[in-house]
Amino acid sequence: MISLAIIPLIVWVGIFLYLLMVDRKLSRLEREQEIDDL
Amino acid sequence: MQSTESTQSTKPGRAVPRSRASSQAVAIPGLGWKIWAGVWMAIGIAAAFLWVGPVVGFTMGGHGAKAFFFHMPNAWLATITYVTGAWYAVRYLRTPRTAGLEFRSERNEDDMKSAVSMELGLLFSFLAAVTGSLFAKNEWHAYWVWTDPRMVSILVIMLIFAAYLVLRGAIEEPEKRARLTAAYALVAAIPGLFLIWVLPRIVDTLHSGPNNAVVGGGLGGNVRLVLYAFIMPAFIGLFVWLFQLRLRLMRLEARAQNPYNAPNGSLR
Repeated sequence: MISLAIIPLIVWVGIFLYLLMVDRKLSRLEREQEIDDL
Repeated sequence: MQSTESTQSTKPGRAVPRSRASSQAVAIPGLGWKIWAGVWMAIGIAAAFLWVGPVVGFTMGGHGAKAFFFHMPNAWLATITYVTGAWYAVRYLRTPRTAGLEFRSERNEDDMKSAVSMELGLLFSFLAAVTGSLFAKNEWHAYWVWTDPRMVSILVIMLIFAAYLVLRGAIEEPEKRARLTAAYALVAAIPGLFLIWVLPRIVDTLHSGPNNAVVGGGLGGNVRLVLYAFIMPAFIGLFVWLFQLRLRLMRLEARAQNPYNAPNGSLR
């Protein structure tokens, strides 16, 4: 069961970190757009 | 003195040049609840596999029921996206278009939210179909059974979502695109919700057994606790996060394509 649990956990951690990376990138792009609007 | 702005020329698809802010750290909005959702999901996955015992009546020594933890939330979220897609479509169609102005941002928001809902609906219905197929292989020794109404209905649900995206991509003019896709999202909710909620209850399908186990309390307290206290809230957090990400990206794209649309809807 432990080995069965590891696979979805690893998949989920990968997805989570990827979403955080995308979120950070979007925040940066939004910031750039705001500054360019000023 | 060296210019503080990058001398990089504007890249294709980028309406504004890179500014100095790109090198500064930026905060992720709502980081707290996003981390909570991530941790909650991890706890739920660990509990599902390490704490919840076998469920009587399922294959793999009763452990085949663990597919519920990932199949049910996806199916529920596919339903929620039908509702939210139709809701924002109604809001868009009800907002009157003021003659003489560009595509206003306030109505833009409802159109974009409806589109994001339908995109996520395709994603979650696909995941529900995949997890359901894996469960079906364990329980009934076939990934797909064409004679089963439930399995065929999830395919139709995916096609309904996909058709929305095709329609959206086929129309270039923004106002026309928003109006037609809003009408589609509204109308599509009716067969979509029928296929999800009504059809499985009026015909006998392979899905009836597991469905009765869920409704009739046959899954056991541990399964329900992990599913409703950990997995479902984490999936809802994931849905909100994905919704927010996609919406923010759509806003950026809309602004980049039409820089004359200021955030408050006025013309510059």
